[in-house]
Amino acid sequence: MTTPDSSATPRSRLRTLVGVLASIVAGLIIGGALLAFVATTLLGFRVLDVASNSMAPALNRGDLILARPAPIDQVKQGDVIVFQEGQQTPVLVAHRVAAIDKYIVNATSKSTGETTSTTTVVLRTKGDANPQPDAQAVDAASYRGIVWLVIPGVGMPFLDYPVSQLFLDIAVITAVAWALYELIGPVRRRRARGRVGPASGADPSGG
Amino acid sequence: MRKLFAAIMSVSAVAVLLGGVALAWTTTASGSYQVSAGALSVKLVNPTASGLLLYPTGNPIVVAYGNIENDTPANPGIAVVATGGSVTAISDAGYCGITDGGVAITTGGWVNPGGAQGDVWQASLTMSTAAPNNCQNDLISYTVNVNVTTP
Repeated sequence: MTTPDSSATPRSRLRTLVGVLASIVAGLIIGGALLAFVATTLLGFRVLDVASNSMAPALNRGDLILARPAPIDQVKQGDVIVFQEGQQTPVLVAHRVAAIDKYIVNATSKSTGETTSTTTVVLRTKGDANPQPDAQAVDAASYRGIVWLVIPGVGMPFLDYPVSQLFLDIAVITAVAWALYELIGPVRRRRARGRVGPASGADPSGG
Repeated sequence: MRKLFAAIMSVSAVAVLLGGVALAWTTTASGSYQVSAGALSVKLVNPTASGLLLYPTGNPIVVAYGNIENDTPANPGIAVVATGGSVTAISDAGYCGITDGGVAITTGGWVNPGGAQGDVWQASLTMSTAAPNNCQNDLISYTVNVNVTTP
């Protein structure tokens, strides 16, 4: 009499535990993917794969880097930045800032004595492993952000797929999987209950 | 389970909201480059590093050049005249003995209003004759100031 109950309890506990863990994992995946989607779509964050060893040993081929947007005038010497190189076939490059040049024009009106100052910042970069600095300077138009996070060796071969779309797809797929689990689970339990119902109903009277 | 999932999704949604706000906060630009004063609107465009190496000659070497754009609206608008400027080496100035080589105005410096441009400035730095050999190929950060005024 007690044997079936005691065997059912650990199973239901296990099922509950799996459900709780799955809920947490699904929630975290969906939340994280949505946050990443918002960050890469609306806030200018960029995720990219390191394709060469020009920044070794700080960045190695196959590392995954996350760059955050920041105004170009907040970049400091020594920061690793992401910028666009080339016009025809633009590629994103992550190199270290070796020098910062500022161009300021001070325009003074003789009649009012007031001065208008306008600053243009241009960055000059170099790969840590390269002997020479990059030929092209980085201006505000080609600058994309400061490297914020490096995940070594987690290069994503599918980064050609739009990253923002990838995060949204992960969130949607996880949500759909969870919804299916929620829909199918009760049906299966109802069926299982239907199968064992008469036997369990006979148990008490049979005892 | 559904309640648990709903709770976790709610927490995730709040986390996304808070995270988004936090990220947006940290990525907000801190002010504009341009300071408005008076009726003039002038900026340097296409500042270009010359690519010339600094040698310990004691003579000015052009390190950058570019245009001045006068965005002051035309009709009638205000023309500006470039009068000169200064170059300050930020890095390695002491070690390599780099000093201001001046800003030369190369084409008369007159810039009409309404978005007109002109190749009007060249910035130079001077490296001391006593600079060590390894100053060659060193990248120098510098600030170029170009002064313009109404005629």
